Amino acid sequence: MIREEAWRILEEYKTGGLDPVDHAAKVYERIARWEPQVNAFIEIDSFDLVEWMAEQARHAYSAGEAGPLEGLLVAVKDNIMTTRNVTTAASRILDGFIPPYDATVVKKLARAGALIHGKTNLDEFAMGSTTENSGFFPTRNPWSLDRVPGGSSGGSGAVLAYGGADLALGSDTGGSVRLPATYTGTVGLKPTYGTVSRYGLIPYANSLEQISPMARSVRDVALLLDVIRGYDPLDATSIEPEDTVLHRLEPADPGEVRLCIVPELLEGADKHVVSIFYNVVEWLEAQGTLVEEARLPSARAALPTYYTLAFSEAASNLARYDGILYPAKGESGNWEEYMAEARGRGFGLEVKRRIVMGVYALSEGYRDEYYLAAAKARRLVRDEILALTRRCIIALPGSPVLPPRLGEALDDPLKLFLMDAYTVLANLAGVPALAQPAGFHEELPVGVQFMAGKHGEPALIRLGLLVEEHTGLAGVMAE
Amino acid sequence: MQGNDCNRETLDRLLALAKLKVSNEEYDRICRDLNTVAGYLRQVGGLELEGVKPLYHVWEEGLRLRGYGGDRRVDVTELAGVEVEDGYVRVPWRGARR
Repeated sequence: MIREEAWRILEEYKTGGLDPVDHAAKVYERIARWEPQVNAFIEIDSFDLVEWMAEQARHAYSAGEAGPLEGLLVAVKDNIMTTRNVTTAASRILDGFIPPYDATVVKKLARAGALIHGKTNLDEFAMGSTTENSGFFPTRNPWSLDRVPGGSSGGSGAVLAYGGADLALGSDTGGSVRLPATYTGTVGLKPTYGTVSRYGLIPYANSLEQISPMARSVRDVALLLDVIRGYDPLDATSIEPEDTVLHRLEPADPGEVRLCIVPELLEGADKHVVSIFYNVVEWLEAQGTLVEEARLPSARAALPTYYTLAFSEAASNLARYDGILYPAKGESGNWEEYMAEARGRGFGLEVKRRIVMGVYALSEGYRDEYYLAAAKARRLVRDEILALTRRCIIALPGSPVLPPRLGEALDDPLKLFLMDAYTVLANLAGVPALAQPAGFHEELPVGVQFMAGKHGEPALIRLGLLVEEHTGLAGVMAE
Repeated sequence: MQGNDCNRETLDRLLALAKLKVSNEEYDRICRDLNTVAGYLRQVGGLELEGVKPLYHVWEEGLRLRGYGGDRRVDVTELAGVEVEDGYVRVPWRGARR
């Protein structure tokens, strides 16, 4: 297996063992080889531009002025605003939209010396779990081209899996970074809600989503999270993160880790997924980790709770696309008809379905039964998870199933929702969660997920580094 | 809505509220899925929610108003790519690529 980690590339840049221009050229060779089959990027910068940026990085190292990500190629999910590239959220309603300002995380990346070289594909407005719902084209999984890469940050996962970027940004509303990480053999970390600014993230469900780092190893996601997190007055939900330097942490001492598994959540999961999951848990136990069984009684209602809230927030957020300010237009009729026509042309089926469901959950006569009930249920789920994560780190598979084939889940919305069964818990509770490779079943990646309490990122990183010692999968990419 | 009562009247009302036009094929798909999905979402009601306060923000205890209130303004003409033409602001993102 080929391996490449961003932090090791930085070490080589610093010692002069690798030149940023040569590295960028190697990454672009991979892009040329893989991209026609995988379709991970919506827009990608020319090599001439990236070569010029890499030359600036080379000068920064010579002058001793290199930033913490100097010369690394970072792909950015296309629902994060960039003024140099279009930002479409993979929706035709935003086709051609060039934002007037950069997202806070994009500014931070630029200040850190990162080379943003492209915008990655996603399910339209991040609504989906496979990246098949993109308004432009589906993305394929580099490990098996007839399979999906997960979603909604499937473009970012796929591009990392074939080595077309050193690091990537995704956004995680209900698992949108952890599911692609699970399906593409990469690593995704959803941070504590509020610790990474959402300013410049095109909103889908504000109370749930977080811009999140993706990479090919645990140390690499820590490296990226160290740069992008921090309080931002431009985001009303922003909070101060804890101040550990995450990328310098060492693997956890197994004897100091306390792990909880929730057997009832594993019922119905694919047997190969469960087997690989227990392989990791049993290895940790053999090293001295205390593993105990736990219950999360309200977790059975977590998925419908999550989807009710997400649909409702989506219906509200997407009301701004009125056919006036943004590119898609209507043609005739009064204002209401014009707007309905523009939205009808610009939005894809999945987005329409979610808007309708959200309007339904919020409409008179149904609000208490759906939206209000879900907001109450969220409190039960959050309180249970906060209580459990005060005692232990919760371990789960990244997904109950192996990566599905293209088209397999698209027709059945409930089948699509079930893929998020293990990931929505962290979003409902606002806590951090890490997904990383646990192994392979017949060349298909299988992931494990760890969930900690509020500001529990250091514990997750340390545990993730320990697990990598067992799996040996840090930095791995498809050949 | 209970059972299979997704009828044209219900869906037409929702589409009007959502300001959405859909094709005939999309209409049939959404109508079918509305039943299935609404039934699924109703499972939330299976929890004991009596006396539980709704949660709208996970860290509600720490919520605070922005310090600068509503006095911060962005001048649209200072944003990247904006042009002013005959007193009108020309926004840079009009016009689709495809």
